[in-house]
Amino acid sequence: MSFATCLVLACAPSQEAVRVELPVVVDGSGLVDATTDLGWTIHLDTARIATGDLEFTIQGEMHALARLWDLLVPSAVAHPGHYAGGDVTGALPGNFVLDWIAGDGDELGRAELLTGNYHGCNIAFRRADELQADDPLAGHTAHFAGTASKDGQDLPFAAILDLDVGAAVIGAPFDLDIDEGSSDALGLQLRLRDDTSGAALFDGVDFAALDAGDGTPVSIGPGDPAHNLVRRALQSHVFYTVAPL
Amino acid sequence: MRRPSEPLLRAFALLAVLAAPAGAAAHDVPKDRRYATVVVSDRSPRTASQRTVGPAEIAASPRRRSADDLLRLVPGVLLIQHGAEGKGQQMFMRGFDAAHGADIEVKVAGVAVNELSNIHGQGYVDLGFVIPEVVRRVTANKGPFLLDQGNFANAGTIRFDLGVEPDARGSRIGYEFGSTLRHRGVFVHAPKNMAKETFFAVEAMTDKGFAAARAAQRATFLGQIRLLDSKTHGALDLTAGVYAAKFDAPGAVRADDVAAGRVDFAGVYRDDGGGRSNRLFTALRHQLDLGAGKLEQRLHGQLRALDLVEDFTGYLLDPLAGDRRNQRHRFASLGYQLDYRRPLHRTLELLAGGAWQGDVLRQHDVRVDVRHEVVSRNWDLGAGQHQAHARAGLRWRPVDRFVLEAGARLDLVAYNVRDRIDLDRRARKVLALPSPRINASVRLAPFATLFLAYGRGLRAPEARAVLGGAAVPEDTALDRYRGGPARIVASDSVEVGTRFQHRELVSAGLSLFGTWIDRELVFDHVSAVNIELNRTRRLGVDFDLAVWPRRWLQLRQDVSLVQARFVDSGAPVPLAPPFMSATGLTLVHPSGFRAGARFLVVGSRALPHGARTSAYALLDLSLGYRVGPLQLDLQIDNVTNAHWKEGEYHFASWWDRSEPRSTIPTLHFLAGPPLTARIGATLWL
Repeated sequence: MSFATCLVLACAPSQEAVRVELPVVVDGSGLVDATTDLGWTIHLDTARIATGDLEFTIQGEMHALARLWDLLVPSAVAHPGHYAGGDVTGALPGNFVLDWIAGDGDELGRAELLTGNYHGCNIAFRRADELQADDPLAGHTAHFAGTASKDGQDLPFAAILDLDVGAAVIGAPFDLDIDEGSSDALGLQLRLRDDTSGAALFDGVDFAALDAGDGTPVSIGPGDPAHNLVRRALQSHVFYTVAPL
Repeated sequence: MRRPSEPLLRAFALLAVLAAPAGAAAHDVPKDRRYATVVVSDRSPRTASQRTVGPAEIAASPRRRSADDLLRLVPGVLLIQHGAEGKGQQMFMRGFDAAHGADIEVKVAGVAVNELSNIHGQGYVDLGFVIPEVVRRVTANKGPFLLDQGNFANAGTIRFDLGVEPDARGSRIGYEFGSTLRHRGVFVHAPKNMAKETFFAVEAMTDKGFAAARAAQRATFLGQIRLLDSKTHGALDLTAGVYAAKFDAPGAVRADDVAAGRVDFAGVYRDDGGGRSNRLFTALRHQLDLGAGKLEQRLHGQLRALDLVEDFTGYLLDPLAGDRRNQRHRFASLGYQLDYRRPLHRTLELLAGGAWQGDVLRQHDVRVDVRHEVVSRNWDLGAGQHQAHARAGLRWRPVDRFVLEAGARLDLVAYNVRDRIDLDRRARKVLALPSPRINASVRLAPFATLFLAYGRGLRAPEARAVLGGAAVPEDTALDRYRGGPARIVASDSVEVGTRFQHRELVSAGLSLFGTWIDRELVFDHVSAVNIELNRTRRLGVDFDLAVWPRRWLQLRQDVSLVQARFVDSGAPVPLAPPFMSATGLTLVHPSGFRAGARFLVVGSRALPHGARTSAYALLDLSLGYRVGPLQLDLQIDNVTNAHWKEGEYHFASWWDRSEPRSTIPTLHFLAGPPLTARIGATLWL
């Protein structure tokens, strides 16, 4: 009897984790006008970011303390049998230009995800070298254009941002239980302001000080002090959310 | 994949058949050279799950290629070799994935051989320096219930006693040839006129392995001599060993690649992985009667080197140079142990002791390219570390049928770590943990005893964790989690069990156990942070039954069932085997014939993210016969030639760069050895 039981038990084959494919779309619904710490209300007409792979992570059994994280989430690549921390268990590989205004609703592709309790999304930045030279984003990472308003003063602006190779958003909020029956598309949102922390994407930028006064739009580009402020903010997870649509 | 030669296997099988009748006709084996019994019964086991494996069972056990393999004789221990022979094995017991020794304390000749802060794995255990022929006894104490169980004993302690029993003493020279083109020679000299502790043994082995990148070589000297045996000055034993080994490291293959035919079941992606392991080991033990008390002290030291190149992920981390990692670990250690016990009263005994060990170590972990030249440096540390403890307890035996042993130990670890990449980084840390231990036994009937035990186990952090684990400021919005501070992980275990022992005919034990870890701390080598995990709970049952129908025949059945879970989520602890069954036979007949068989079943294990390993069953056999001074042995591993996966893991890799890179984990495995055979001849001089 026990011998037979053993044989039956010993016949169990390996099982891969269950995988699902879900569409990932650009979701512009979070991109509403917002006010910075210096009182400038930002309205965007263009919001484009060149990204590489999108990765989705689970927290696993990390203790709650780590939920503070914005966790450094390494891929599950450690020596087998040795714990590898929070794990990347979903991904949408590729090169994308996320356009939250003209491209609102565009499907980026179908992400492959293992079933599990998701907590984060990593977004790798890149340079959009494949674009035509006349595209303002060509060779750069992000392009924002819009209007900054304060005390009745409206200043049009354009920001071109360059991020270093390897720069990424780590741990953008993505709280969702994904099981075999999940089918909702995942919307990738950009926000100009995080209500929880009060931080805004253009915090610290005094548009009036940057205004040349000749009627041309305020320009923010590589090498400007303002560029560094926005570039740094762009890597913070608080301005991104992934949510089911 | 290279398979064992079919004609060779047939020849071995024929030899096995011929050996039995030939042996049965022999009657001239000197009786003093025959094992008389396979019965090993602990007269006074201290816990229900205590298990002692005696010399006869060791000598007749199947799959005894090295001392590592003797760990398989402990019920509920699972070993996985994810390198080749010579690399420390991954060990599992009582719901713990102890990795290379992080939760199982292993002692050889009384000295703990777990390597604190080893670059390849915390508590790394490499038993290659122990020659199986001079292992006299293996004792397993599951759970951390005894006062002398120290660092890494969360799941238990396994002790190797060295020596040669009287019925096996003398000189012998042996040669073994295996179907994997294995050649192994061993010489043991154990003078008959000296105590069982004294022996000298040398061993040399080379093995091509059952498939590519599984080759191994080693050379070992191990000796022990009783220098002094005096009523006034006590007994003094010196143990010394020198060991050098070289081994391959095949890495794991993706299950989807095997299914698609892109790589063989026992194939490899790269064949340049491997390592070297060297050790110089010495211990001086002094035993002395001090009035009514007994003193045992031990001075020990080691020099150790481990070099390893392996790659499990291909090009995932570095698309150009690849992900090969070179790990180098060097250490020198010196230690002292003291054990003292003295009756205080007719019913009361004092148990006291302490130990100190100091290590100086240097280690690095670098990424290397195809020429094994350094691409980037992950770690380069120098460290000094100390482990010390003091313990005291009482053993109370008010009546014959009741024994209570209770006490506590205080463990201290101290580190002084220097980063050799960023020379400004330096950290010092001292950590302490008190651990109460208590065990009791009540003899309910002449043949039945009830046991109760509670104990706290511990695992000290590794030196890198001390350097990498800064405190987390709770009032600061963090851009990234920087991990918790390094600390000692404590576990609390209880065990309730019974043992039925009827003379030397039958012994049966049943243990119910539980282990709780409130806050597991794992140092993640990839992100270099101390990751705090949620509470875990391990509940299980160990059952063992040994029957001795004759003194020369033992039948065994061991079953271990464990449910290892994270308490809040209910998710299984990855990799821990929930079910193991071992059915065994040991036969050591006075005629000179001996045999061993083990049928092992390992249930499916949970992997991270919902994946599962396959279950498997293995049958191993050994046969032997002694004709006068000549002893012939045949060992057959995996008799049914089962197609099994020894190690299975779930992680991401990228080997084919023409395919898109994916960071999503997938199943990987290492093939277990197919049917292999070894035939050996030993000449008793």
